[in-house]
Amino acid sequence: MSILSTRDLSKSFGGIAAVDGVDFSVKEREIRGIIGPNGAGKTTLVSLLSGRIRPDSGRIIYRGVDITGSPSWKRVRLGIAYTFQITSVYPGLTVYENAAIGAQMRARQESASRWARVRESHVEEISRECLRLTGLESSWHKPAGELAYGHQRLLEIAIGLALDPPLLILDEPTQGLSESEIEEFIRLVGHIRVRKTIILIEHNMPLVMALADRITVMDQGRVLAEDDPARIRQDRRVQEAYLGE
Amino acid sequence: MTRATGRKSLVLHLGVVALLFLLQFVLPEYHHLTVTRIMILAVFALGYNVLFGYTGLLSLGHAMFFACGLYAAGLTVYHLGWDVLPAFLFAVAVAGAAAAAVGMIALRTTGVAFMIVTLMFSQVVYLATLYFSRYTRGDEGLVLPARARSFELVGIHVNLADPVTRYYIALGLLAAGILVVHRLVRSGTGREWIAVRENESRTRMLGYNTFSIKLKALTVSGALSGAAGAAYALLFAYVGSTFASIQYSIDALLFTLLGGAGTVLGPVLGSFIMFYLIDIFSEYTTAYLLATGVVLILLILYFSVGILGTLRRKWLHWLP
Amino acid sequence: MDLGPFLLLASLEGLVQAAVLSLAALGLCLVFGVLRVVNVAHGEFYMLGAVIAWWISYALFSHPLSGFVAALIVAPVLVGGVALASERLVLRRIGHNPEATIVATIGMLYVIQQGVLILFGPDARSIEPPFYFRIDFPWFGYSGYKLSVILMALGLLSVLWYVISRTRLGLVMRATQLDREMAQAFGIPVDRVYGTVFAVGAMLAAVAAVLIAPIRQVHYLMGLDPLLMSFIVVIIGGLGSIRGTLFAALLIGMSDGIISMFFSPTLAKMVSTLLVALVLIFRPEGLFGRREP
Repeated sequence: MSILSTRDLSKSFGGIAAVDGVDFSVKEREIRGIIGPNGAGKTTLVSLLSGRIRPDSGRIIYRGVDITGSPSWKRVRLGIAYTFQITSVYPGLTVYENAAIGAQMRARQESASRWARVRESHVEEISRECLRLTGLESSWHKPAGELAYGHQRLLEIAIGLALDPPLLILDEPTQGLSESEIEEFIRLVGHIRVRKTIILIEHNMPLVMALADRITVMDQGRVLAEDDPARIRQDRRVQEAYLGE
Repeated sequence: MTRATGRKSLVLHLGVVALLFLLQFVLPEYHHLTVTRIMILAVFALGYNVLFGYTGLLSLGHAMFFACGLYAAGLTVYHLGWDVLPAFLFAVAVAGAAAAAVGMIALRTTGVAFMIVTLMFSQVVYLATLYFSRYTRGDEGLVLPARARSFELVGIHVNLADPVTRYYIALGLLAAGILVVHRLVRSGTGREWIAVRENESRTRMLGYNTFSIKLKALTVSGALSGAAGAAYALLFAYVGSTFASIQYSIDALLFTLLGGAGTVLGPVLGSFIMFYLIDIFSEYTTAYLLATGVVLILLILYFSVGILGTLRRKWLHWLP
Repeated sequence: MDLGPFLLLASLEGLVQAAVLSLAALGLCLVFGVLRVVNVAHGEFYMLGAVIAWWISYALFSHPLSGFVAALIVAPVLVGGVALASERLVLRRIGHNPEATIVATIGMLYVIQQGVLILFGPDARSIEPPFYFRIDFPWFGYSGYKLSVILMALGLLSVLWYVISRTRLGLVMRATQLDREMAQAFGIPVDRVYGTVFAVGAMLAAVAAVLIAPIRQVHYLMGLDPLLMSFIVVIIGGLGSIRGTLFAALLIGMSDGIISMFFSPTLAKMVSTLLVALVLIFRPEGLFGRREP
């Protein structure tokens, strides 16, 4: 059954349609890759899904609930987490505090009532677990701004993981990472995929082909094709629009 | 590790309170009164710091919350004959409610627009104290009647005209302010404030309703500022329009910047240093506000994290 | 006096106010438009202009007219120099960061204001108008100087309009306002443009003050009021829009003049201040500004 779907979703900027009548549906526990040439509308689509911008028309449904009008923070509480394409951590705070901000939200949601006190030990437990998963445990006391670029990308994912979201949207997570860091990332995804749905926007073709269950190809704001990786590789339209360039 | 630094920092803050308690025994009479005044203004700066230092919102209109507390306490005592304690509690509530109301609309803006909007709202409050001079007597102000110079608390007679009593009340208020802020900023609430300060859009994308976080900070900040205003009115038995002027908004900013924004004790330290700096300066010239201008420019050019901010960066990483 | 003539008198007062306000507000507007910063010390440049005008007309010239003409030239030049220096020494070092600039210009406000207090003293002083003549209406006589203020302001505004729309300096300014990086890429010395615009903004405030000084009194605290009024005008006019600022200056100057005469000046200020806060919240682009895409 589908966890997230859109109906005829459209958004244009200054008369140019960035997302044009997109019908899109992701199943529970699926890893969905979204690819497409620059300007295809991938980032706009993701911004619409996460609620950072509002669509001109169309609807977004998450687990049967219409969330088209919900603000972004409410969507996150429903279970849609998002990691930024441009690294957006808290550079002035320690790595631990970065994770703890995400962890506190989860601890709050797990607590019995809205007014129940969140236990700091619970926050600490979640934070440490996320830092361990992303291999950042040893630098917990460093200011995030002093981390190497690749580690900041990992921290970005760690903060998202701290929320323990059913649906995780990763916007170009491996951009600018080295080979070994990408391998680390693949290992991480392999670890969390058992419990989560992941939407992965990527430029790195081999990576998407290796990780995704299905791939959506976008071009000029529309869905050009949608299929499993092997078929996508052979689709002539896709090759013309994107792979062949 | 957090528990150990927590104890260390609590000891430090209690130590500062104890130091202020002991200070009165060595102070000459003039400085005794000055320190009483400074402690009240320090509560104002503590409140300002909750919004500016921890939540990252620079208000240029906090005098309006100080004035709300001042006038709510002063006018109820003067015109309605209220007792000191209910007047004080009422004033804190009024200032908190005013801050929440201002926040509901002003927090729709960010950055420079927020600074100008708060400045404008504060100016309206200042003009209102002049316009309704039938009740406030504007610049000239009101002197509170003698019956408001004392009150009974659980059978104890408290005489507000007595300097020692005043010192204890100011100290008690400051101690309460320090402990409340200390506790808040080390709690989950403080973590949310700091998260908004450091990266608001990221915080929203982690499921936090940043508007309500900012509103909460502004309300706490306004209530503390109002408590300072009310205490000032009741301890010194005077309310006047000056306290609503832009000057007081700038002072709160200046005290906080100097001592170190985003540290609990910074505003307290800043209040003491700046008040005495201006006090010394005013012995030589009537243009003593020159000190305010020069210190502001130097701070923004060379020393933007303030005194305790520098200490924390270099040595005391655990300082809240 | 009947309502009709009274309204005419109030309108004339409002026009004088609007004329001076449009010059001062335009200075603030230019600085905001090009540098993207709010100059809180703007009112002090105004005050400084008036104080220099007083000093020139009393210390150097015996005849009010020659003193006035000299002040009209010297005061803006000196004030422009002070502004240029403070831009170099302070604002440039903090990289024109909008929030730090506000704090820094608050500091400058105190330094200028208190400096004048030391040199000029706390007393209010008056300047003799450069010439006297009365224009007699059937109901009242009106000062010819006040009417000439309106004309002089119109003249200055035309010069300014010419500079901005027809000269190279104006072109460079507009280019920097539109896109700083692009301007830099085209070889425009952005730092120098910033310094110049900041100085020109201060000079406009100074000129406004020289014009109004013979009507009002000169005092070291006279800067706050024009600062707040200019804020109001610039915000209602749509931050950075010259046409909007001029229109808003006319609107606010006139309404302030009229409300002050019929009701109370304090109430007039309260209403317009509250209005402006609400404009900023509900229409951040100003009443006449265009919403950015």
